[in-house]
Amino acid sequence: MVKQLLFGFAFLLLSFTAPEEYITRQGTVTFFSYTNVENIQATNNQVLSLFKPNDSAIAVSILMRAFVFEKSLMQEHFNESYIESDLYPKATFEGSIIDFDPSFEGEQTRIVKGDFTLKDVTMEREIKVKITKSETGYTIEGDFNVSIKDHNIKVPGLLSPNIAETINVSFNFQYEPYEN
Amino acid sequence: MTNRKIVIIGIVLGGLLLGVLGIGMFGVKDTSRIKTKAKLSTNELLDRTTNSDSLLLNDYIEKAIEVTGPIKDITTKDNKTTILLHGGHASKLVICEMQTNQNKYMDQLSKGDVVNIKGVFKGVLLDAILLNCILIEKNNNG
Repeated sequence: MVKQLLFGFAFLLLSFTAPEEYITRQGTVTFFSYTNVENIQATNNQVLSLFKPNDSAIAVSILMRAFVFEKSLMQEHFNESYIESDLYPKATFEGSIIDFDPSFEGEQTRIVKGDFTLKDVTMEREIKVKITKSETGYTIEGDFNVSIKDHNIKVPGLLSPNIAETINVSFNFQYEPYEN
Repeated sequence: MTNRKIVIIGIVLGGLLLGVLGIGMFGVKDTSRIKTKAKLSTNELLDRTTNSDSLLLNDYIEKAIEVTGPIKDITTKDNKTTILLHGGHASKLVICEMQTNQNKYMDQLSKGDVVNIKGVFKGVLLDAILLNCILIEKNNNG
């Protein structure tokens, strides 16, 4: 009887233990370039991110070719001239959330500090994020600015009025437990 | 050459130029019009992401490939449907973001259906990623 009770208790404990790792395979990253000449927007809905709440750790991997533009010519310029996706296929972010409380139900605003790498240039960044815990997982959303000069993105003189020097990047990741 | 012939040639050339520019400036080429580079099962494609054949995948980048496998999940975001196919790899999937003109077929699909999908291969993160996908064939019997 005692054995059965202990087994039942252990089973219940395991059932209620929160997963250690969460994943999104379909995170969204959108960037905006605002200029007087034209506004350019592209979205990538297939961004990979892993989140370990107990370690406050977050990792993001973005396939640059998976950004979708309104005009295919823009997409071609982006991949071939600006980002050089053949040479630098991914952008990545690895960081940790400062003062994050994984047990807090609901919404909390925190700073994520980490390394953002684009075109082999790594910059340390502090990004303000909104973290929401739900029954099924976590949502992390926020935005930050990227200077194209910082990442060696060269725009031909003729096109420079069309591309902003600072690009706004927004993201929304909806995580679910990772059963790997 | 008469003036009339010059005008007709001008109109034809102008139309061709606008057509070429139109695809580049305003739209994305329909995947059904792109030649298929390779036909693979989800297992074959995912095997190549993990073994020494991974360099072969570079040949497929920005090319249209056909992939056949069972549906693990179907998701929708911003009017775009994505079909996730699985194979023999526990944690790896093939992610196919469908063209918006395919939305009308999505109601006919369910988890477990085996489908043949054609899409433009973009590369690999944890999963293989295809965009601008179209449904080629569905087999309920799996």
